[in-house]
Amino acid sequence: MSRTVMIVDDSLFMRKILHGILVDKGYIVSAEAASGIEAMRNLHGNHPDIILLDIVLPDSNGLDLLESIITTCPNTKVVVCSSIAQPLVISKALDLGARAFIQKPFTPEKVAEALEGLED
Amino acid sequence: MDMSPYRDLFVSEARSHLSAFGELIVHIEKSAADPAALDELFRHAHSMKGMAATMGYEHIVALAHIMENQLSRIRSGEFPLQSVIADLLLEGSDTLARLVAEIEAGSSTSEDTTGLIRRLATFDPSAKAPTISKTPHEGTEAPPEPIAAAPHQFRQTDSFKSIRIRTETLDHLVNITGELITNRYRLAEAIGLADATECREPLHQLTGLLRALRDEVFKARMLPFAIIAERFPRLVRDLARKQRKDVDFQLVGNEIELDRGILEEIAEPIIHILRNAVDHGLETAAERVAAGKSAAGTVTMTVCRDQDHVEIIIADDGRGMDPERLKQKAVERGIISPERAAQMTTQDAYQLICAPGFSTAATVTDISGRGVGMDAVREAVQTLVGVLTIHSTSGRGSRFVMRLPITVSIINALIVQCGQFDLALPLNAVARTMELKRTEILENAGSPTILVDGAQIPLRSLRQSLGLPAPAEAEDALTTTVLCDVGGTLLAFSVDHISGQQEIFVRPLRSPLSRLRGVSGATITGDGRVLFIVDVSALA
Repeated sequence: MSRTVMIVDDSLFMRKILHGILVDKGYIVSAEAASGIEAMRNLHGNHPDIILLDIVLPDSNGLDLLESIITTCPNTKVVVCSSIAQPLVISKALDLGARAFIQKPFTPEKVAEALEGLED
Repeated sequence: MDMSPYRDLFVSEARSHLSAFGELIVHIEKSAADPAALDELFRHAHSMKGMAATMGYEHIVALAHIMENQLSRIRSGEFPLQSVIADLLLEGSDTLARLVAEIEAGSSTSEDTTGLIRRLATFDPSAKAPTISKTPHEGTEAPPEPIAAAPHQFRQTDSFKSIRIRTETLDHLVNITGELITNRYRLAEAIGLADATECREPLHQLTGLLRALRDEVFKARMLPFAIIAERFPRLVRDLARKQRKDVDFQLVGNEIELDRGILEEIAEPIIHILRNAVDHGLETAAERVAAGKSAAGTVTMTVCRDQDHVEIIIADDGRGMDPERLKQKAVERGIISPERAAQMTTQDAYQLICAPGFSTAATVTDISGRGVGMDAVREAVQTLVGVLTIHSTSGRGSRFVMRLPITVSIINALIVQCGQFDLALPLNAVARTMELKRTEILENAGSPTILVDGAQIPLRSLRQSLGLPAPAEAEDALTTTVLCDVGGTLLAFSVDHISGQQEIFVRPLRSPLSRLRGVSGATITGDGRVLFIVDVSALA
């Protein structure tokens, strides 16, 4: 069965590109969110298999949001996707429970590789 | 991966980031202590960089990257966002906007950004900034005043409940609705003539539906004032910098909605008034302090809704205008006769600045000289069936009030008859109608006048004002009169007869009819006749 993904990114442009890549690779995009509030609202009764999470969001720090997401749905795998490549940020995200990190700008292959590498 | 399908999305999103970016810089420069706004500013630069990187636009990435870096330093408190770095960042966002426009046009990059990138990269916050000191007396750089600015609000995230429609489609919808309303009047007239009573009910229904259609079509065309106002704070800031004046610009009522067509037409006139305010209206800091005022001038722009109208008020606390000097200048330029000048009220004298030929090259500067003059401002407002009023107090400042309908094309009008012509007077210019007895019409220096609330108001014949033949000697005991309010000045027009009030669809006149004085447009009546729309302010 195809795995479901929620995309959290404030940029419609980024969401559309990720959407295109994910559908192309056989994933189901179950929801998109442009802000932390919207992401948390979407998680009510709908836990996707994977969440692609941007770090810089208009209403919240992605790292704080990451913590809330993992508390709310511990079975969802969160992949952080950002152009902030500071090792400190990456290791903090991984410490908090992120399963992978995708550096922006990404290629479709890089996205696919990160998602396929997620262990069940 | 083929990125071309995402190009349009990139362009539109990049634009909205850049426009918000410019707006925020001006906001933060005025209110340094707003970390939320700084965060958002950083996010816009960051998103620009990320998007451009995804699209492979390396020249944009390089510039956005260095802007993001400097913002990161500002955000961490290393140095404040002051005028020099603000100028650099604004130059950066302007450059990015041009690069985005090139991408949209599909042309290759011609702009060399290396100089700007180097200037941004080597910006030294400790270097003495050539800024206008907030306290010119002390001569030392004062720390930024902690202005109690309203906390920054985040924009709403985009909703999928809306779709984009081409503006031409909306224009067509207005035209079709206007024609439908005209046709309803025709139908109503035919039904009346045929005495077809069974048609009355469906006609009544049609009237209600047309009204609902008109309201919905207009609602779809409404946009918040913010659409055009976004650039004003930046414009005022840049003008003030150029003039070496310190200006506090306040904008109230950004959320008020107006028809897209009106917004489009009114932006240039507003810019002209703002330019005038900063350039001519406000004094220099030294002059202000000498006059016992604060060193920084204030320009406020207030947008407010009043029933079917919107008022845009632009006020400054500058030197104001001297009515006597205005009159003198108008006489010198041959715009009015010395006799007329002597009779003129103070209020009328201010309107003189809108007379064609009033301002000359000597008073036109690099800043206000561009674009339109005040005569064009008044013309633009009148074309929108609006009214421009000017108030001023010598030494205290000036106030420009533009009263505009909130929608275009379809207006309520009073229909009057003059000889063989039916004429429409826009209802927003009509104060009231009166039936005057002969004894109520007085003579003042040979001109008929009437008393309204104790004030003497000149009474004119609408026929004569429009150059129509005078009526045969009136035998009517009563003179039907329409009292008009032209930007605060009352004026009475006698007419043959008042036919009623009607919703009309305004059609512009083409040359040579557009050159007719006192006529701003036309409409077609139910029985197919052409009805001219009177521009009362042009007859004042």
